Amino acid sequence: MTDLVENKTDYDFNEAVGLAVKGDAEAFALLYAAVYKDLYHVALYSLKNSADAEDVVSETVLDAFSTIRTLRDETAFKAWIMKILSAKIKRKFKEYIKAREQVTYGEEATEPNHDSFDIKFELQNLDNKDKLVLSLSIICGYTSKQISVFTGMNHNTVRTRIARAKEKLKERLQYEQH
Amino acid sequence: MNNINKELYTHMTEADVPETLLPENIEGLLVKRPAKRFLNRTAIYGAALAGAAALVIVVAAVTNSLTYDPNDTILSTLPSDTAVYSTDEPSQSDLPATEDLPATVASSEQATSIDTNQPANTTATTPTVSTTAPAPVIPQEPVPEVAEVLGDYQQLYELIKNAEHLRYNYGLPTDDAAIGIANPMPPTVMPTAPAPGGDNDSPTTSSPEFSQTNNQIKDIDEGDIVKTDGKLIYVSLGNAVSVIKAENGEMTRLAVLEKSGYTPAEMQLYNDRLIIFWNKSTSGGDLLVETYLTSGAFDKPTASYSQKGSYISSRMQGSIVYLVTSYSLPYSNDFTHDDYDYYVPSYTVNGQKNYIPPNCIIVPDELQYTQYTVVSGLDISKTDMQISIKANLGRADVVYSSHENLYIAQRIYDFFTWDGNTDIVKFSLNKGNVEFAASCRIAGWVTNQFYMDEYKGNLRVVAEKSFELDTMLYALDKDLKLLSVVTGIGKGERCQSVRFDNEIAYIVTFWQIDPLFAFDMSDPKNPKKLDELKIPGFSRYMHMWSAGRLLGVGVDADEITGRRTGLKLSMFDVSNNEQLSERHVLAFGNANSTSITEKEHRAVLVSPEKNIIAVPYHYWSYASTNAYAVFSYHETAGFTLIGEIERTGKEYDFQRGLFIGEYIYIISNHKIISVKLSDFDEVREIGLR
Repeated sequence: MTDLVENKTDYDFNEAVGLAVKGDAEAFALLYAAVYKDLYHVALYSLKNSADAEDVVSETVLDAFSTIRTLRDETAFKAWIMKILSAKIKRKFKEYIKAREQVTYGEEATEPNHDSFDIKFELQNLDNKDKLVLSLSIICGYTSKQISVFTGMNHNTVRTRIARAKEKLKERLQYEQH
Repeated sequence: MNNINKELYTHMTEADVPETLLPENIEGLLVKRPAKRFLNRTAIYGAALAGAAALVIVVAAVTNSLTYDPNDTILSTLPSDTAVYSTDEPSQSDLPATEDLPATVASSEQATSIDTNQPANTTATTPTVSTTAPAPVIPQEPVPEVAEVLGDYQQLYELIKNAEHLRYNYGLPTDDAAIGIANPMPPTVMPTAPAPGGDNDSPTTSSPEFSQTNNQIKDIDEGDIVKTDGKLIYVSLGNAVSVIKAENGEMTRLAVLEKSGYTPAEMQLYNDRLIIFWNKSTSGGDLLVETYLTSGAFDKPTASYSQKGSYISSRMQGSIVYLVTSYSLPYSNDFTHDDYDYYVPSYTVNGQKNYIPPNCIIVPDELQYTQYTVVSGLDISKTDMQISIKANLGRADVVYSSHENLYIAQRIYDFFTWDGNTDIVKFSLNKGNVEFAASCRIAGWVTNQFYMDEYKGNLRVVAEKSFELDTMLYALDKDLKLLSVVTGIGKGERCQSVRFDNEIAYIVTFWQIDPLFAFDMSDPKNPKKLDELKIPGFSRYMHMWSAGRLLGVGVDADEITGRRTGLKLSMFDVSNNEQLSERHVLAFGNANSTSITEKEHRAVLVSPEKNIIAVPYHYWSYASTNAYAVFSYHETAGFTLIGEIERTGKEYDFQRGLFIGEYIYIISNHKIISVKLSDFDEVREIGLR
């Protein structure tokens, strides 16, 4: 343990997972450092509201820390934490649906500017679930099979959702370039 | 299409991560936020706050009534907000202001609660603090009876239905596990070599002595991945059980048992029966127990039984096996009262599937995990093995068994202190009958089965707060009520290993230097610290070598820096517990050496009768090397290396070793190597499959 803490650069990821599973907070921090960017970007993109994304990520970290003892396969840490995150994001979607009038496009997006089809706007204009699967695919590079495991959606649904979203965005991009 | 991926990636990842989420602020992430939430929530209840740390909310699990005890200011007890709430369930209207609560999984927020419905033992027993303990603090008392027995399924259904916030399928992706199975073959036995004919049936001369699994308690057999009866060696590694005939170092593979859809966990061996616990390869399945006649051809099981869950642990006394399995409820929102398959654990006897009756299911006062632990008593000499079965709605992190009782410890995370509590559920065992006996909650975590020990009906438990860095020694009576507790053992250090020898408790803690503590527990109400021995390094496993000699297997470390420098064997002189001393020490390996024995006691081969201490370890020196070292010990000369086997390569990850007669058999994931003990010559090396 002491070795691990003292040479932060020189550690074995799986060993850190092993230590974290046993409740080692330092090792957990190292693991977190390896995934936090992906966590935040997936959350931010899926939720389109930086405050919500921050909330969701911090809740995920808390949960991961408190339940990491249940992690059986040490090689699956990232998949595992992504799964927690996906569950949290889906939960947030439910809240959005409940309070649709309050949260529409989040705080930043105001009126869409129809003169230029900004890719950012288009990205945000997708269906909630599309955003989640697309961000998992693009940011983390997961396959549709893996994403289906995280989100509990059907494998084929995930595949179509990604393809459809990309197709839509591609059209818009081409339109923009003309 | 790749362009669009790239472009999208740039857009999606251009935002900067807010400062609060940066890894250097992780402490704030894990501590501050829940504290804030805690304040919010209590504000809803209108409770006056003298500071979150000084607040104890006592929640009666049924009524949700809240009381407030300003006198209890022990920070470490700190039972926190325990309100059971659910976010999406409209049925939870009896809870105040749920919509104001953040929709989170509550597992991180579940902490200790004291159930006021329970008999008020909270003040009845006054804990005795040993005056010899360094820096004694007022200990927290165990909360007795944190569990109750159910009346009917309705109660269970409501409990689980309302625990939606706990029900996450956090485990491994189930489908992926299934994909990983190679060769889905029908259940077959592949006779790989004919049994060497001839002297098989010759009158058995006295068969050579052989080693047993390194059990915690004599006569209580622990399940293991390697078993031997002196003639055959059974190895359960990978996806199959290999049966290997061993005679004078020569080995022949008799059979490889595989079962499609199952992977073998551990095994037990009783006379001429081999008991294999087959885990379903996909999660959420049943554990299959099969017995095989060791004299037969291993082609078909003589008896089989299955129960829900995957294998956790097993103990065997005579022909009675006590089996512990556990499983989490998969994530699901829509199940009805009749979906017993979903929320009631089941077992199968004689092909007949049964649900565990409600009066055999124990639920905690406050649900921590939607996970079941199933404990059963089996008579493996019968064809319909099962005798009794009980289930507990909780996890099984540590299983300890004495001759009369089986204890299951479940760790509970307390996010306020970064430390945890442990729920202990006690089952009494009587000839295969498993009965719920008592339960309690103590502060601190129990790391492994050696942290618990029963002596004259009392349970002694060592628990550790790994964040606050404190080690506690509890003595609990047969109803798990507190007799005494010693705190502040090795304050500021991590607890490394524990061994109880009847009345004496040996505890090793370590930060830079290893103190070995000896406590006299002959009067459980008044434990006495006898001595404390400081030496460099620490032991991860301790074994009573002989009267007055305690063997430690562990890590050698630099006295000044505390950095590990290798592995070591220590022989402590404990003939006078008030004057502990390290009699001999032998360091081996190098600074990057690790050993599986640091967390797996069954990997140590110890036999004082045969004078063998054998340890598998791993080191890196220009190449990653696996080694298996065999030592002997003499009162004056100390430790001597008898010999060492070294191999490079992944297939030589040594797991276990055993001896039969004058030969040592070393088992790795894929190979088994036999060595003659007298000159340490390698006799044979064969593959397990």
